[in-house]
Amino acid sequence: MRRILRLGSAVALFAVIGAVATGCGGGSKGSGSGGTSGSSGGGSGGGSLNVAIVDNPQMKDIASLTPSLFTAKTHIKVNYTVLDEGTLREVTTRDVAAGGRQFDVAMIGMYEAPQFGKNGSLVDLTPQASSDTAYNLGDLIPSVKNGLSADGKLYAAPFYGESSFLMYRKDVLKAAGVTMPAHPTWPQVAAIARKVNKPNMAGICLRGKPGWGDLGASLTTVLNTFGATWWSAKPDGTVDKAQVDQPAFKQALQFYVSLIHDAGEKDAANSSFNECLSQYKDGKVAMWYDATVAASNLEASDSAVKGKSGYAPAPVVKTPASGWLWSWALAIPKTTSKEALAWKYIAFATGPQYLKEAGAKIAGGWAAIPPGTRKSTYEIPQYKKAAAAFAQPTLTAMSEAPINNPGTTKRPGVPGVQYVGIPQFQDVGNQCTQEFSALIAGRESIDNALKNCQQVASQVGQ
Amino acid sequence: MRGRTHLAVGERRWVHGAFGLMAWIVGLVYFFPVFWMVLNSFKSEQDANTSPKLFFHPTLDRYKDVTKSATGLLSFGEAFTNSAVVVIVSTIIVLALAIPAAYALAIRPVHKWRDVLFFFISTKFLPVVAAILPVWILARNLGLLNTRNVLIILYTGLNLPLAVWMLRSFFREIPRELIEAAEIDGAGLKGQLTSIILPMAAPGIAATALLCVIFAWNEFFYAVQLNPVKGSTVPIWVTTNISTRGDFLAKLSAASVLACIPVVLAGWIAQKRMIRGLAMGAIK
Repeated sequence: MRRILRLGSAVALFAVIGAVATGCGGGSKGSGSGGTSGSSGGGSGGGSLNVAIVDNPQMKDIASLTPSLFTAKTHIKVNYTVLDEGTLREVTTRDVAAGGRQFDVAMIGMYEAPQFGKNGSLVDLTPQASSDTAYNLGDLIPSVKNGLSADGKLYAAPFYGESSFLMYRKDVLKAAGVTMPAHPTWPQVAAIARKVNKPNMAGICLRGKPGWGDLGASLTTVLNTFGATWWSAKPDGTVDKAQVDQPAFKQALQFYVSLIHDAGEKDAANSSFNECLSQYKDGKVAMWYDATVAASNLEASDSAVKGKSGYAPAPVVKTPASGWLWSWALAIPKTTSKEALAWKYIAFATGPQYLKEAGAKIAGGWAAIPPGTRKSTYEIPQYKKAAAAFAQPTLTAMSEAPINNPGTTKRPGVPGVQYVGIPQFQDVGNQCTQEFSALIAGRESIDNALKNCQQVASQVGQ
Repeated sequence: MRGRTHLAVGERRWVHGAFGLMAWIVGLVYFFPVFWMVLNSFKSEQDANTSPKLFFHPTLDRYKDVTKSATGLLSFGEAFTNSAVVVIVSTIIVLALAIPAAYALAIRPVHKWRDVLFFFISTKFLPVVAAILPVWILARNLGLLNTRNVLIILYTGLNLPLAVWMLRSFFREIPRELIEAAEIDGAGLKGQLTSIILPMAAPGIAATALLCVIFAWNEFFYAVQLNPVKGSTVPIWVTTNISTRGDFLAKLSAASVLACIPVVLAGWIAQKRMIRGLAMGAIK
């Protein structure tokens, strides 16, 4: 009898724990008390959407404005998952490819959009976008629209866009008796950087942190304009041979690394966008080559360098333009069962109306609205006034970015400037930039770095 | 003889002093990042991202920023609740399973107990990243993605081997004579457990529970891979304060301080028992 009672107590204990656990899990699944509030409440008949976004300030702004600007009108509740770039890429790639059905809308980059679209993982947005007159598809900046399309089909709607340009301190260059050319070349920029370089202020800030989207982005634009390329392309657009061991690649890499060694920022091997932003705002660098969106930080009201910067196009050598092109864009995975709701949300988030409404409501003001997606953004009077210092250089950089022909030779894969539009580039770029970052830090020789990188790149297409 | 003894005492003092100084230096080096994080959390973004400053105008604004909640975005309160539920439930299950297992390995060793112990620890050999895809597919097929249940199950599995090993060491420290005396007095298994083993091993159980709490509270990889949408925990909430395009150091520091507080508090409350526990058993 006692044994039965004991057994009964043990079973009861586990049942209680199990019930608690199930209750907890069930609670988060059903009642929306989990990571996102009101997750499946669905409003009053409007439904709900799970949206994955990257952790940029503009994305966080739209997340906070969604209840008032979107849910209030449509009764569609939107649950955001904010992730850093790397994790977002990992989570959404797996979700889209393996049918996780976790997200109804996913934010993806220009690198992924045409590749995922071509392999059939994303909904073609062209029919909805072209039939929705309020969306005004023709208003999208053409280079951005092309970068997010494959075979003429738009697979992701741009929420934010950027190119790259050169930012420089007008006062520092003036004091050194230097004038920045209207269309500078890299040798001219290097000469200026070396001239203004001082112990307390580096001549230029360039990315040196490993990663295909960090050092890989800046360096690839330099490789392109020096006539170098990661791979040659076969006539059908597939990868032919790795070109890392070619003289043009070595020349471009040598130029980049020497410039950092001679006139670059401190701890360059660990620097990317945020580190350079801090150093530039802190008056520790005189020039900075990076994303156009940086200008909105430099010209913000609390910036110590507000009004002191000039903006020049991305420096070139052999190509007419060299600025990169990037966009964070919203796509609908084919696995979702809420395609119509998802488009309604995308039309709101990437449409012209949001840009007009957001400026007066977000903390950063008009200068902080998502840039680089629509031509009409640059016609909004309040935006033109708030972003007077950088709006036109940004639009020019976006429009001139050589998305279809970034270098001097044909590239394999889908179009891309600061990356090669093939799935393997992520891995090759990450491994090679480890080598190049070590070279910047002085832990590796250029010949070894190139040899190792060539070995990695040669495995593609074999 | 007297002089030599005097010298030896002096030498010993010097050695003790040197060790004390070294301990302070190591302690300060370890503590410095935490101190810097706390300091940054009271700065403006501009101050935190410019040259290091010890003197600045302190502000609580970053704490206000990170605890501000908006509909549709993971808030601190939600993340805290999710973490608390996952951590408490998984730790209770771990202890409920580990105590009998440790008893069977320490007090009444089962046949081939060494193999059993090795099996337990061998489950920690595989890097978590290598197992993520099968785990994710299983979770998807069982409908567990984005539920707290998936984390409760995984954290139980992750912490169980460690808890069994630790508790076994604590149980082995209990004098056999006491258990035998209880047996002679007619105490059954339940009596032995409730009157002898559990009270004597209480500091060890507290230490084990605290370690399970710390590991589960801080776990990020499985949480972000399996639970990014609903039921997200505090480590995921901390990362939502990072920005790839703009300053975030002060905000991230404030979020990190808030994330650390529960674990620090739990450690502080259990400090006395934990030190006794660690001194009596596995980590001795």
